[in-house]
Amino acid sequence: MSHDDHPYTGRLGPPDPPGWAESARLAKVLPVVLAGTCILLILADLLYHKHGHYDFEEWLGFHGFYGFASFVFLVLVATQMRKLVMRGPHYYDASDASDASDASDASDASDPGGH
Amino acid sequence: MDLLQAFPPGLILVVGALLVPLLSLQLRRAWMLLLPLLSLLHMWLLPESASLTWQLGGATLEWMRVDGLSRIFGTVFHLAALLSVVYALHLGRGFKHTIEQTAALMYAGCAIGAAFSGDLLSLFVWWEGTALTSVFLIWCRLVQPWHRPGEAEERTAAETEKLRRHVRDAGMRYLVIQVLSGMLLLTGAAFWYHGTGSFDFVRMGLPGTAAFDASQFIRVDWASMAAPWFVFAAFGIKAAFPFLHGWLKDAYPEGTVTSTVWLSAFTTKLAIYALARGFAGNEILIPIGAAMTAFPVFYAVIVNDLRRVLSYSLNNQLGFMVVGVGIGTELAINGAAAHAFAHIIYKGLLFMSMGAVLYRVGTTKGSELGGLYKRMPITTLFCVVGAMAISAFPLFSGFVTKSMILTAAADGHYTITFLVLLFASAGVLDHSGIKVPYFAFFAHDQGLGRKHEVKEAPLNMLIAMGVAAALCIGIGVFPAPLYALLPYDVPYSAYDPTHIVTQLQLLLCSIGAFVFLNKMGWYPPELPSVNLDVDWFWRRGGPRLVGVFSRSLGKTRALLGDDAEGTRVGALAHARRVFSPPGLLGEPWPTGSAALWAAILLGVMLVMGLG
Repeated sequence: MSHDDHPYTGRLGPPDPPGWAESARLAKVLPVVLAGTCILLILADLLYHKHGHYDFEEWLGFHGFYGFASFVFLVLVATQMRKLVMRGPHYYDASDASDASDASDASDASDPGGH
Repeated sequence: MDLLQAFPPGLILVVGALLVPLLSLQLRRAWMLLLPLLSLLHMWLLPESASLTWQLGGATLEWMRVDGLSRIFGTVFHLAALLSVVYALHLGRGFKHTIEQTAALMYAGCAIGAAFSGDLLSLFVWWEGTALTSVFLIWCRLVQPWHRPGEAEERTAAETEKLRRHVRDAGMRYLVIQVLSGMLLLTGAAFWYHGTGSFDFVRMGLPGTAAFDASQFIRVDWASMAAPWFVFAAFGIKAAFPFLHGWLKDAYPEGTVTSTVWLSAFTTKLAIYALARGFAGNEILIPIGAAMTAFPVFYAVIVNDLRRVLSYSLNNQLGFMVVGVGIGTELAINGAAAHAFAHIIYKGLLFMSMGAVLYRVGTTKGSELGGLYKRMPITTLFCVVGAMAISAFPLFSGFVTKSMILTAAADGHYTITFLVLLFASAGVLDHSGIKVPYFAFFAHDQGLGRKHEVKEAPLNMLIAMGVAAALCIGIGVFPAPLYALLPYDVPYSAYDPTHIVTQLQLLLCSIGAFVFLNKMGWYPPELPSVNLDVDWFWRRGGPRLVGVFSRSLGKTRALLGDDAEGTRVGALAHARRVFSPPGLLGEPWPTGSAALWAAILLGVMLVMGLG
């Protein structure tokens, strides 16, 4: 395995041999099973009398769509938030002390955030 | 039986902890296991409405009051203490310090004592007790500056020194904020006595809001009206309200493998208890709580240290409880108490699983972990159970407790709050349900497992995690015993088709969103980074401002030269005039204002000490 396998940090050592969770078949099957389950769950709304507190809760699959949309919104917004709040891993160390060793740490090559 | 009623619950732990440093390793272990059990037994043998009062001046203080709300928090605090003791049993092999265990048991005892305080002064004593003991759960890393055994030898002396400085500062920041909360509480207590003629810790309404109840007061002046706000602010700090939350995410990840597990259980849930006792039904808590559920989840997506992710997640869970307290109906208060109970256990479990990773690998940075499921399969399983419990999957504890709060919100027609809580539920699933187990145990293997020859967690950790996991499932499957412990008798069942199906829709479609985002390459990678939050203001902003101020002061002095000396002498003479008996500040003052000034003065001194 090369050092560049992971685009951001690089590996810290050789990994263990792959186990069941890394099998290619699982990676193929899992999304299909998941999507199928979601569709079945949404259709399950038709099978029982749904009693929500609000009218919108009684729409077909409301919670499913709301969950999906919330999750995507959350992750995309949080990713953008990085531009605003993310700093290098030694950001606070540099302010804790003024000696030269800290200053050199702060300009670490793996430091993804700006200063 | 009289002896049992002669002292409040929690005291056994506080006093018993003093013996811990004196005992040999085996005796100490047995004693530490025995203490929470003894204390729990004591608490349960106390009859409902047992009470202990004593007179202080003209005031009656009630340093023990037993009721349903105290009891459920007392019970789960004992449970948390017991699990944490088991989790930390390996400590002591080849390591002579007992600071952590002693402080931890006293900390638990103080939190329990606080939950049984009937007046604000007793509450203050225990409240400060939790602050002063828990800071040693951070500072204990000064004597144990490693997570993984053997890690210390790989470091240079300079690196160790740097780490020590980091830990010392983190502890100091934590202590200042915790003590500030105590000072606000003391000030509030003094004002409350001034306004009502009693120190009784009863339900308060915030002046200026709909919950305000003027009949409680015998005096209506600014000090009386400020009293509930001071107490509210004191509770708000420990409950990690928005903008007051910086200490939580700053301090908790700085503990040791074991001490963070202790920290996660008590302080914040004590604040929830105090809010439920003092401010139930104050609707201002609803937007505060809703904001607490929502904003930490954004941070939790991008933060790298998985124990910090769990700290943000803790903050988010507190939000649900705060909303419940704000709604204030019997169902909502039951929901807040039940959720606190379940939360202490699953959050403890998640911190334990990350502690086990830390103990074996030496880091919980998402960017350095991955693939550990092959080496720590049992820990992985327990972590997944905790993740499913916090995500509120049916048959897990979070499902039967969180749904009470959501139902109460919908019953009260708090539509926006309801939608925010649903959004936050999807957020919980992301950071605690998926991110923590995924990046620690699955994802890309970064090679640390092989490098450190990682093994499964030690047996005592596995037992503690196993019991916690069993409780997460047990409460989810048989919620009746937990419901029976709740302060109000409200019939409730989480298991009806609508609840089960809609919750599964929400969770599985959110997982679908994760898979979708991952496939598209839109899920943000774990990056080694610091993410600025409100603690920036006192870690960077404040010190910078002080720096600018003192530099300009120096310049002014240099400019003024000899004149400055004259000014200084003049200022001193003026101060003498003001403070001497006929002066403005020399007059005898009412206790309320004196307490306020003392608090302000102490606050200023602490802030200066911090800089």
